[in-house]
Amino acid sequence: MKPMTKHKTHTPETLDSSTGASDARLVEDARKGDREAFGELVVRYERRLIRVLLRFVNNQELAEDLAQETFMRSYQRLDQFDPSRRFGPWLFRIGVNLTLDYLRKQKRRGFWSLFSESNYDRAPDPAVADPRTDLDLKQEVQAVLDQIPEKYRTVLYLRDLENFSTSEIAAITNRKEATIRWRLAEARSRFQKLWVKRHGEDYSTASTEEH
Amino acid sequence: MNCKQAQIDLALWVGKDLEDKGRRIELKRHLAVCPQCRDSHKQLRGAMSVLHQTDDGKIIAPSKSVWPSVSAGIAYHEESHRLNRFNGWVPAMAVTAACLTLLLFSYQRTSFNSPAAAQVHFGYGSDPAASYSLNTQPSFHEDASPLATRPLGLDHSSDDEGRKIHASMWKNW
Repeated sequence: MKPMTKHKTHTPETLDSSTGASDARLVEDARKGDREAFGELVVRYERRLIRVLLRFVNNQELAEDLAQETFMRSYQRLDQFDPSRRFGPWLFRIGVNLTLDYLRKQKRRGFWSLFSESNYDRAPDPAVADPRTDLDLKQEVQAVLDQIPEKYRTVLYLRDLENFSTSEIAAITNRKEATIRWRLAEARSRFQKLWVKRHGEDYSTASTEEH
Repeated sequence: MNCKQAQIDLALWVGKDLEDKGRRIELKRHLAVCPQCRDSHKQLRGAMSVLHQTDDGKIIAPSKSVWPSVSAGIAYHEESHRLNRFNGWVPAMAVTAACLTLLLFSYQRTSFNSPAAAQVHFGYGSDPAASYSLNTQPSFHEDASPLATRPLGLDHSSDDEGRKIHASMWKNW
């Protein structure tokens, strides 16, 4: 494969508009059949995309596979992309939807496996801390996050863990910004209630600084 | 502001997402007089702090760029798409050819079975000495011009001597 030297590479950590014009040019080139231009977009966004998808699937290899599939689909749908909009949120929308679809399929498979003859270890009640296993904080938080409905959890991941702005999340999830704000408030409230239920009010390491 | 509205605004405030300054002031006023919402605020800040602690901030680098795999996938997809487009023509052409063959065959059968085509005349031009139809006994035209000595042939045949058959053969047949 030829090295890509035509376009200057840089990796955005946010989806701000500073990369918008350049992205638009690369998209335009890619639409005309310049695969190298699309390669630049892949290199530009892959780290961020894998990191976001990793929040959902907790498996590096799987996140990379899903990112790869996301780029494939986005290339095939480039003709559907509206050039007046930003490429980043459009790409992340494909990636997040693909990942959520994957997780739903896995969940359905898990549901049906309850009726199969295979051995299936049921997860302990998440409302009560499991005394048998010494889960670290990350696992504890993940266990609580898993109890939050998908539409709230998605917003929580994107805003509080990946620092997307509410307008970017609105673009990624194809919802109004007001809806995202409401979901964000609901997601944080639910996380707080589940966390307190699981660990009590004493398990708080919160800083006391006021806004 | 009631407690229900305060809960929503609190959840936004802890993440610095409450942009409306008026609502922030109103929320602070409410917190000053509502111990229940103050507790809720404390719990929310604790929960958010725990959530952020799990984010180590480490940028996870992929083991290698996915671009070579994506590029290969795109090339494969385009190639298979091209082949599929070609493969779509092959059955269409085969079906068309089969239909044409069938049509031609049925046309030939129809022509062969028609009375006009099945009627065979023996003799010269418009002066037949004998004729027969398929699956029927041949009939002879004795009142026609002298045939006994005339060589018999298909009315559209040449004067090939090898095809000369005497009409009397048919009488004894």
